[in-house]
Amino acid sequence: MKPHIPIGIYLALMTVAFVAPEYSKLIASVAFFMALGQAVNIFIGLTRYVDFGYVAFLAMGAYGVGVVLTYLPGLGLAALPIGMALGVAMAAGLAAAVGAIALRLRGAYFAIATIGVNEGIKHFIVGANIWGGGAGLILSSAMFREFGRETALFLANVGSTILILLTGLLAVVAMYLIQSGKAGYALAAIRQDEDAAKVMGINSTKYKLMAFMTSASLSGLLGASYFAVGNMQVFPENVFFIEYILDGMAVMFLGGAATVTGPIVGGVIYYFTRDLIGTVWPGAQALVTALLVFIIVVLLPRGIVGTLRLYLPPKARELLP
Amino acid sequence: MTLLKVENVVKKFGGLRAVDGVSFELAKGEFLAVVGPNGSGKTTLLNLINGVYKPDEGRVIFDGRDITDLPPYKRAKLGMSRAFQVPRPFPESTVIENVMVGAIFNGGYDLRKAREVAEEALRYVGLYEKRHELAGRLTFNELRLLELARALAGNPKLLLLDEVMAGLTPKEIDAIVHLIKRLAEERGIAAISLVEHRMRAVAQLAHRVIVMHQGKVIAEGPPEKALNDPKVVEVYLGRPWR
Amino acid sequence: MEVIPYFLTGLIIGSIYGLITLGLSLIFGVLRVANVAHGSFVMIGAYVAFFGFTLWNMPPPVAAFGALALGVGLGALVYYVAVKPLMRAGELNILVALFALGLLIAEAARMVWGPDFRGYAWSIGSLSLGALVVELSKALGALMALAIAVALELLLKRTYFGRAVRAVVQDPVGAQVVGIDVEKVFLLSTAIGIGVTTMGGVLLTLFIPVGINPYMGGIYTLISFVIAVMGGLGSIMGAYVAGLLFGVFQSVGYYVFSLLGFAQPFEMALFLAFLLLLLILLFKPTGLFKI
Repeated sequence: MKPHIPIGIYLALMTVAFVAPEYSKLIASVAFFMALGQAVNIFIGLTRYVDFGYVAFLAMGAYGVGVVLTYLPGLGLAALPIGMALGVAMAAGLAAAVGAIALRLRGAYFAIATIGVNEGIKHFIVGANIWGGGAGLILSSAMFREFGRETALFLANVGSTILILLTGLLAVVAMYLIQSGKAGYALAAIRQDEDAAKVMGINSTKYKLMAFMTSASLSGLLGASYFAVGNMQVFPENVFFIEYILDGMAVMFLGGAATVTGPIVGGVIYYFTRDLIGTVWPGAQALVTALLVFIIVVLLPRGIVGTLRLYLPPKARELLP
Repeated sequence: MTLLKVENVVKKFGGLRAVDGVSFELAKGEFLAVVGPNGSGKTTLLNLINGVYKPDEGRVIFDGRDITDLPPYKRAKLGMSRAFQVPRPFPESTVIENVMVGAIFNGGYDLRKAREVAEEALRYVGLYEKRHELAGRLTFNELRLLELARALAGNPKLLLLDEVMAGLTPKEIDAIVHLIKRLAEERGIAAISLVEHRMRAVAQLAHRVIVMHQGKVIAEGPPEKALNDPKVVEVYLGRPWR
Repeated sequence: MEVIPYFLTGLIIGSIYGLITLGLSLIFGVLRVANVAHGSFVMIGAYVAFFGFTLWNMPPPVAAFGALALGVGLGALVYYVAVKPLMRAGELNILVALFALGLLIAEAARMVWGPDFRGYAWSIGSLSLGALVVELSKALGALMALAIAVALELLLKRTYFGRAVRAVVQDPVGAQVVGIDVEKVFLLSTAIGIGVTTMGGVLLTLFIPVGINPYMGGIYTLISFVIAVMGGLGSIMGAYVAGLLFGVFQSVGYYVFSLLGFAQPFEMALFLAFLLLLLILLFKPTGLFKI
């Protein structure tokens, strides 16, 4: 597969965000859905396992940055990469812990096992009153102090957008690396017939875990970029918001699960649909999203790009992975 | 040289002893046909060799190693390939992609070599022209051939064939039989084939036959001898096979 | 000794938890479908209780039966719209569709009834047992839940329908071969399952005086799955007994965590419950006991 088109799109958007900062927040909003869809795709799209606790990975990323900024003062600008690294590590660590146990389970049991993860961690943070507890962390003053006011605002406005787009781009790269190697074949086998795959020599737990941790890490990066850097705050009610997994799945299914360009198309359509609903019928976005996901899963399970690809000649299919 | 040794394996499902103390040996490049009616324990035996089930008693020794506790994917890496009775292709992948899965994970080849091996296997079974078709679109006979190609690409020392003749026309059966014989003679690949009907094919194909009934082995030996054993005649055939 | 009141209250609410879980366990047992929209039907039941009481002065036990009928109808609808078309499409599709359905229902509720928390109070007095005060409304709710659980169990063990259900659970193809209308079994199981859940939602409101809101379902989906897994997916009495255990666990856990000085003992108890779920799925996915 040739990832040039998707990568090109992300680079182009990054340039626009940098050059025309007035559009940065808009791009960030659209890109959030694109990147979320890409990250979700790497796990749910490639393995066809559903993780209902997925949002916890976004939260871990956000808390990584939040914790470093709040509890480790004096790091200056270095706090940002350190915080993001911590966030990604926490997300990956959570995926490893949950995955090591839950990925041995099959389909529905795995989904059940994950239902509790998001809520469980949120309840733990609130219940044990760590990391700001139910009140969350407000990062603006810490960011002004550590980075300087100008830089902090720049980061919140343009920097976070570029980071979000970077997440999407990294997700494309990850998909490319996965699909063009042994893992691509393994995951294709696992999602089509896991029992047969195992009999053929595929250690399914290993590959599922790999996809899971990659997906989680990217989500952690996204959460850090969008919430912590972009909004300068981390509230449990926001970062553990269960609707994000629905958003991610909407984008993924709309564009096409297991495709690379799918989430880009899906993200754009999804964002503007939500925006439109917001003006025509305010408050109904979540309802429409849920309805949309429901309809797509029943009627157009391959998504737009997925269905389109079936009708393309092989050469064109390569360019629209 | 003994490739596979099955020692007194027992598998129980609740109160039922599906496999009740079966022992045999298989040499390298040898073809063994396991004959028996439905419920005699053939598929369970295959599953025990493959690792899908673990035996309640007894051992399975492959290439000198005790593999009784190994999961299926590790046994595959040691040199076992399985073709399913009901073909289980990956329907959304192309024919060659299907075979490559076998080559990469069963055979342990790297991606480039796996493609070569896959193409060769497809040529061997006669599916090369259809290699870019989606597997879900093949006919039943072609799916059987695909199963074989995939098993073959896995670089097996032992092929486990689960009633691969079922549902095929006599001509198609003949073709597969000859194919498998070639594999034994040209490549030294051993095979265990579960057979229910098609006695003629069994006789042509196998070096040795084991007859199972209610989980036990009731006769063993070269085809003419085992199939004409009085116990077998009584239980299964009704009259001597000619 | 101070823990005894918590133990008893735990049993009482556990009875309701058990009732709420019955439907989930039944649907999974028969259709092998994990109904991740489960909580939204609990929510609907809660609103039935609320409106029944505030609009028509309907005592909750009466409203419960109304909710049962409503739930059965809803269940049939859900079956035709969501379950039947997706049974063949693979686990991912059906889980996602049900998840979307659950959120859809919650959002619709929010749009129709508003996001505010609602509540009502229905009291028929209380009983003093020494230091312990038991509200009769809650006790009645718990007893009704027990009665329904027993009724459902008898339905499954003693009737033709029940035998058909068990046949389908063991071997759907074989059941068809002997003439059982598997489709009808699926439909009825879904309808009854959701009906019982909705009814549970009504009785639940006896315990959450001001907690009725469109998003309340989520936590009960979670709790029900924990209980269903504990009791063995597909087992009615298993789900009920596990519900009792869970109620006790939550209640006693609350007591223990507040003793230990946690500011949010309820939350901590829930967190433990989720850990418990993971552990059970790992080590004893068929449930803690055989019923």
